[in-house]
This record gives sequence, structure tokens and C-alpha cells, in this order.
Amino acid sequence: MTFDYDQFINALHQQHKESLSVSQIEELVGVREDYSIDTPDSTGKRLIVDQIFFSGKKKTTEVQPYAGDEIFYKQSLSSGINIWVADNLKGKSSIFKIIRWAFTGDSSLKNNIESWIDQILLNFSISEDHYSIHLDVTGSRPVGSLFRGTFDELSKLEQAGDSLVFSAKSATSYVERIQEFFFSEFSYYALKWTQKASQKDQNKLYESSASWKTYFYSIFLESGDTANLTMGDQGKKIFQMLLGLQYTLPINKLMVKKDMMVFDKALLENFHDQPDGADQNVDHQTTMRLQQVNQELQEISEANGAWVQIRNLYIECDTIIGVIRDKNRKIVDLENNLQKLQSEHHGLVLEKAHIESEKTRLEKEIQKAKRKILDIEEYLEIGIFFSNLDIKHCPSCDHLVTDTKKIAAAHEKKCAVCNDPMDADVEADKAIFEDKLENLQVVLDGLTRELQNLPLQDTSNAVERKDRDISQMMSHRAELSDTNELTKHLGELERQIELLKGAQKSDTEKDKFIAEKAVLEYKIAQQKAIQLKPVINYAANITLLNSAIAMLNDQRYSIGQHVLSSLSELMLQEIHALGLSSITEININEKFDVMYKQDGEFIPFSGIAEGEKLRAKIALYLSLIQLDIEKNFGRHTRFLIIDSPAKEEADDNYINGISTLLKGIEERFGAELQILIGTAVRGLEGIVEHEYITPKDQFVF
Amino acid sequence: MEIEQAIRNYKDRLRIFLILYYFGEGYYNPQLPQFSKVFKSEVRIQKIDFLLRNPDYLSYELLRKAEGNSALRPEIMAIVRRISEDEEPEIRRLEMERFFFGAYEDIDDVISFLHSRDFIHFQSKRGSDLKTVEKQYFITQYADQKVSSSLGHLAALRWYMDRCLLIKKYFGDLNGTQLKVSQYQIEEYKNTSYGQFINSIQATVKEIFHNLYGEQL
Repeated sequence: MTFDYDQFINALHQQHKESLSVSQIEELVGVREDYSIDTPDSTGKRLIVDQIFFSGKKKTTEVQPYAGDEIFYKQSLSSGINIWVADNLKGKSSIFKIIRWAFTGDSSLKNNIESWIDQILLNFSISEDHYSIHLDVTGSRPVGSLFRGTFDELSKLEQAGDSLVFSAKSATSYVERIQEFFFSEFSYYALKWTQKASQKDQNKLYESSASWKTYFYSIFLESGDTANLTMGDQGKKIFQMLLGLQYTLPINKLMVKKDMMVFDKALLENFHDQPDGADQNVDHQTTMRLQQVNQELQEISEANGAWVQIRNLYIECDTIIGVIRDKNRKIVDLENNLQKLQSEHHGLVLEKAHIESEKTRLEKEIQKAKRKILDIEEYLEIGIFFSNLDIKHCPSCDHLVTDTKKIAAAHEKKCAVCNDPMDADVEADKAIFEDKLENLQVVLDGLTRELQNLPLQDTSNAVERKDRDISQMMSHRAELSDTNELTKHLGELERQIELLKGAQKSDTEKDKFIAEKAVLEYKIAQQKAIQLKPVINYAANITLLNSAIAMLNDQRYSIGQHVLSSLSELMLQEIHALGLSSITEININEKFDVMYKQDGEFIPFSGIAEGEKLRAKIALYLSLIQLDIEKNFGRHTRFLIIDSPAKEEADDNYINGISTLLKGIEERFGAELQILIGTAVRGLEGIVEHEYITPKDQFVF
Repeated sequence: MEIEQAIRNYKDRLRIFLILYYFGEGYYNPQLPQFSKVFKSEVRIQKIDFLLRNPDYLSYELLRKAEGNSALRPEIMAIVRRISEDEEPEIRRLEMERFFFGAYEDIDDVISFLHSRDFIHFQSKRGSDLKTVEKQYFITQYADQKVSSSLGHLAALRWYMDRCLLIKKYFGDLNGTQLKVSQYQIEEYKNTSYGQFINSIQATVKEIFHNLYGEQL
């Protein structure tokens, strides 16, 4: 249905002619071309991933068996359902995130995965046109390129030549270029909204817009994102974009314009609330106070700027602590060496004591031998001296001992005095003693040699050397242990740091001044604003915009009712197919709120039981795709990634429901769409043709 | 007879004889022409024998003499040093027991032996006070000849002759009582119990030597 722009303007003018002229109204409601942009008719295009390849070398900071594994993952995909079955945390979600990364330029991979990926090559088609995305993430700045055609190996890209659509040398540039590409292909544009500034000292309203990354939420249903029906924080914007109902763009533009005007009007009205006559004083007081607050903030900044000085002091502290630690380390080494030396010294002392003891023993033995030698020598010579002496008188009675008696006694070998037998052979005795003497001399020589060979001097010298070494080492230890000066210096530095830190103001105090500054600036801005004659009639403009938005909303809803009804019916069918038979009706209002009738009452998505939300969400997306396929309405890319559809649902009914649904989709729409599914539920094996099964406990890549 | 006992008997006989011989005075009596020398007092024998048998105590007595007479210091220093270097206190020391009146050892068998060989003649009689016993030992001409002809050729016995002459040089003028008194001045000697061997004082001798001469022995 063609929009009659002139009729629209006239209708508005009828309502607001007292406050606004036609030209003013035209200026407010925007250009007529905006009103013919939207159409719910499908573009007929679909997105399909033909092949995903990525490579890298796994690395991990912990000792893991897979650290260092070279990865070359390549998987060709088909139209229809493609299902990965593998245990949890084995890489299924990572594959999907890599696909998303290639499509949007935004990575939501965990750092430990992203860090080792080097190359990504994604071959995809938009209907009959084939494309390849290559991401080279080896360098510090990733390079992303889009090629026309299929390149199933990296080496073939070198001959790409004219096939290159674009090559972006930075992540930001790639995001912009790939968005531009997909927006163009699927007739998307950026719907906008307004939001307040997040900085505390800024009282402003900003305009934000939906990006390709935002709309990709309608493609990739992540396992953790089941709390909301639609995708991300701007779900309704995405919903509107996917439906493509007429007047969506102008309604969006007018609503943003209206928000801006409401904000500006409020600024102005605040100033108008001030009592008359107080303006001049408030102005001067406000200005003065603002100066004071700025001064405080300046001082805080300077004091807090002393962080450089504090940092340098900390560095100096660290250096001193490092020196002390180094000294302590040296002391420990020294102690170990000292212990070793003392142990060696002890050993030497014991050895020396042993040698001295041996020396004493040998000296005693030598003296003993010398005594014996002396005794025998004297004995022999005394014997010689006394040997020729005959006994003359009896020592007892002093009677003379006659020669006759002596001869007789000698003949009988008896004593001439007491008649006892005499020992035989003086010469033999002498020979024996001379032998003994000779032996004793040999013994004496041996002992003397042994004494001379004792290494007493060497050992004494060694002990003295060790003593000196130990003494030196202990002296060195005493020097190292003396860290008084360093400790004192460290104490002084710490005192300085405390002084500087004490001078710094806390963040709370600083925030207080910032908040006050914001209020004061706002007041002054209001005063300046009010000094200018107001040239904008905010009230009238806002009223007009509200009227225009209301009229357009009504028309959009009226014209688009059949689309919304079709969608509701499809959603109900899918919900029932997934086992949620308690929902009996689905209604989508002009605000794009989806309401579910359960037990006779309409409830929003948030009112659905937690265990049923995921099915409701899957039902919506499948319905959007079916809307396109069956009714030729909507702009969904007909490409869906569902990560862990059975994550929260434990019962067999659900699993059976999913199985049946997937089989049904594969049969009916297999050629029209592509759904990539990742699941750990082994019960979903064998339900579709294109399945990639990873055995238990193994990684997908 | 055990060899050690035999050696000991021989040494005792020689030593006592040489004491009598070298410390005896000349004797002439036409009625007793066979005697050439006389030695009086067994106490004196015992005290001289103590000095012969204990080179450390001899060194002590010599150092005391040197302390009292500086003229003697150089020669006594040499004597004491030689005694120490020759290890005499270790090799030549022959312990003596302490009895009632100091160091004493029974010499009756020795005297009997020497008398039986006609080397000496022994006589004891009461003194004029009828309390003391005077002992006299006469050296025979026979012994005198024996010494002159034989002893000089026996190198191992030279030491005894030299030592007797050394003792005679510095202490020959002292009688037995004087020698006894002098020995009693020594703490170790005085404090030795009855029947115990008198211990060595070589450490004391080294200390006195160091104090006197400023050198280590």
C-alpha cells in the first residue's frame, strides 16, 4: 500500500494548525522517501554457511595434554539441519563463535581460545552468490577480507585477484565494512534509540543505533541467553527490523527526535521553575561556587597527580627491598658455605687431634724403646764391669769364700755361697741381649720414621687456613647483615609515601565535587538558555510528533496485522510441536509485545516458566524463518545457530519434541534454510543426515 | 730371675758404687792400707741417688742455684737445656718412693754385693750420743784400680760418671741433711704421701726456665 505523504501532512496540520505551519510540520516529520523504505516482503535471500575452517596452535598457561597441539579444523556444511554432538566444554560453542566472529568482526571467544587461533576461512552463500571471508589474526591487528567466490584453502586466496571485495587492516574497519555488506544484502538499516550519558558530570542525551552485530542476535541463539524472548537489550528493534513492517523507519526517526525534544524541553522547564527576581543572585552565586568547585577539583587533581611521585618512591622502595633481599640471599649462601667450612674445619681439627694423639703415643713408644735400649746397653756393660769380679766374702757372714770352694761350685754349676744352681751360658745370654738390642733399634728407627711422617704440620696449616677462611666469611657476613642504613632509608621513603597519600583526596570526595560541578554547570546552562529568546516551541513540536507517531503506529499495526497474525499462528504451531500445549494463544500488539495465553490469562515471555522459555524462544525464530519461507514475509536470513537447545530441558518429552521438530524442519524446509545446532544430548544423534559426532571425552578440535 | 729385675740390680749396684766412689773422701790409714776412700752417711747416698735418678729434680736444683747466682746462669742454662733435649726426664728417670725422711730405697743388698766383691767395706757404729748410727763405706784399692782400668772404656756407663761429677761440682759440699732439706723445699716432693712414688716436676722446671731465661725449654 503506498503511503500518502501529503494526506499525512494535511491530517497533522488539521490537528495542529494553531501552533505549527505545514512547512514546520514537514520539517518535523522528515522526508517523504523515509516512508517508503520499509516493506514486510521478503528479500528472498538466504544465508548459508558452506564451509568453516580455522587453524592455530593450542597453548595454555597450565600443564595440559593438549598444549601445543596444532589445530586444522575444516568442516563442510549443508543446507538444512547440521548438528554437532559432543560432550560439554569440548568446542561446539567455540565453532559457532568463530563463525560469528567471521560474520560480524566481533569475537566473543574466551581468551584462552582466541589467543591461539591464527586463521579463519569461512565460505558462505547468499542465495546463489558465493563468498569467502578470511580473517588473519596472527598479528597484533587482525586483517579481515571478503572475497567473491569459494576459496576452500588459504593458499588459493593468493590468486584471488579481482575477487577481493574489500580488505580491512583493522578490527574497527572490518566491522564497518562487513556491516555495510550485510546491511546492503538483506536491506537492513540501523534503527536508533536515545539514552542518557553514563558520566556523572554529563547531563546529555545520546543517540545509539543497532548494528549488524546487534541483528546477529537473531541468528545466533547462545545457550546463556534464554532470559529474554528477543535478542539482547534492543530486542524490539531487532524484531521490527526482521518483520520489516511499513513505516518502521519514520516511526523510529520521529521517536528519537521526540526524545531529544522532550529532553531539551525539560532542561528549559527546570530553569523556568526558579522564582522570579532571584536570577541575578543565583547567577553570581552559582558562578562563584562553580569557580570554587573547579579550584577544589584542580587541587585534588594536583594532589592525585602526585601519584607519579608516589610511584617513583615505590620504585625506589622496591629497589631497596630488592637490595636487602639480595643481601639476605647472599647471607643465606654465605651461611651454607660457612656451615660447610665449619664442618671441614671440625674434621680437620679432629684429624689434627688424632695426629697429635698419635704423635704423643709415638713419642712415648720411642722413649720406651730408648729406655729399653739404654737398659740393655748398661746391663751389658755393667755386666762387663762386674763380670770378672770373684766373690771374696760371704755377704751374710762375711767369711772368706776359698778358691777351692769356688772351683768346686763352678764345676757343679752351683753358687759358691748358697749352693743354688747357676744359669748356664753367659755368652748365650749376651747374644740374646745383643739380638734384643738390634731389634729394639729397628723398632726405634721405625717409630722415628713414623713420627717424622705424621702430617701434623700440614694438618695444622690446613686448620689455620680454614680458620682464616671462616674468619673472613664471618666478617663478610657481618657486613652483609648490616642493613641498618637501608632499613632507615626505607622507613623514610615510606613516611614520604604516607604523607603524599594523605594529601590525596578520596574518590568519594572527588565525586562529590564532580556532581556539584555538573549541577552548577547545568544551572548556568539553563540560565544561558533562558537568556536567549526561545525559538523552538517544544510543546507544540512534541505534541505533533506524538500525534505523528501515534498515527503511523496505528497504520503500521493495521497494515501489518496480517503479518503479525501469521507469525502468531506459526509460533503457536511450533510451541505446540515443542510440547508447550498449555499455551493456547499468542498475541503480538502494536508495541511488538508478544503475549502468551496460558491458563486463560495473557502473560509476557518473562511470565513463562524457566524450563519452557527456551522452547518459546526457538519457536519464535523458527516461526520468523517459516514466515519468510511460507508467507514471503520478513527479513530473517534463514540462517540460525542454536547452541545447546536441550540445555535446560531434562525430560524425554522435550527431547522427543526437539527430535520430531528438527526432523520435521529438515523434511519440510531443509532446502530453504540452514540451522546449525550444537548439543551434548546423545539422544539427538541420528535424527538428521548432517551430523558431526565426537566420541565421549574427546574434543571437537 | 726376671730380666728387668736383673737389669735393675746391675744399675743399682753400679750407681751406688759410683756415688760412694766419686763422693767419698780420700782415706789413708797405714793399718788399713787396702782402703783408698771413705764415704760417710747413708742419708747422703739416698739424696745423691735421688738426684741421679731424677734429672728433672736436678734441673730444678740447678735453676734455683742459677737464680741465686747470676754468674752461674749461662752454664746452668746449657746444662738444663741439654738434660731436656736428651729426654733425660723421660728416659733416665727411675722413680723413688717417699718414706719417713723423704726419698728412700733399701741398698743393703747392693752394699752386700759390693762388699762380697771386695769393692767396699761397710761399717756402722753408734755415735757418741748413743742415738745416731754412723755408717761408713770404705772404697778398696781393688775397686779403685778397677775403675781406673775398666770404666773409662764402657761408653754406656760414661753418663753415670759425668753425672756424678756434675752433682759433685754443684752440690758436693752439701751433707745428707742439707741435701734432704733442699729437696724438701720442693712442693711435689714434700706433698707426696708415704709409700707413694714422687712425681715428675718437669713442667715446673720448664716454667722456671722460661721465667729465668725468657725462652721455652
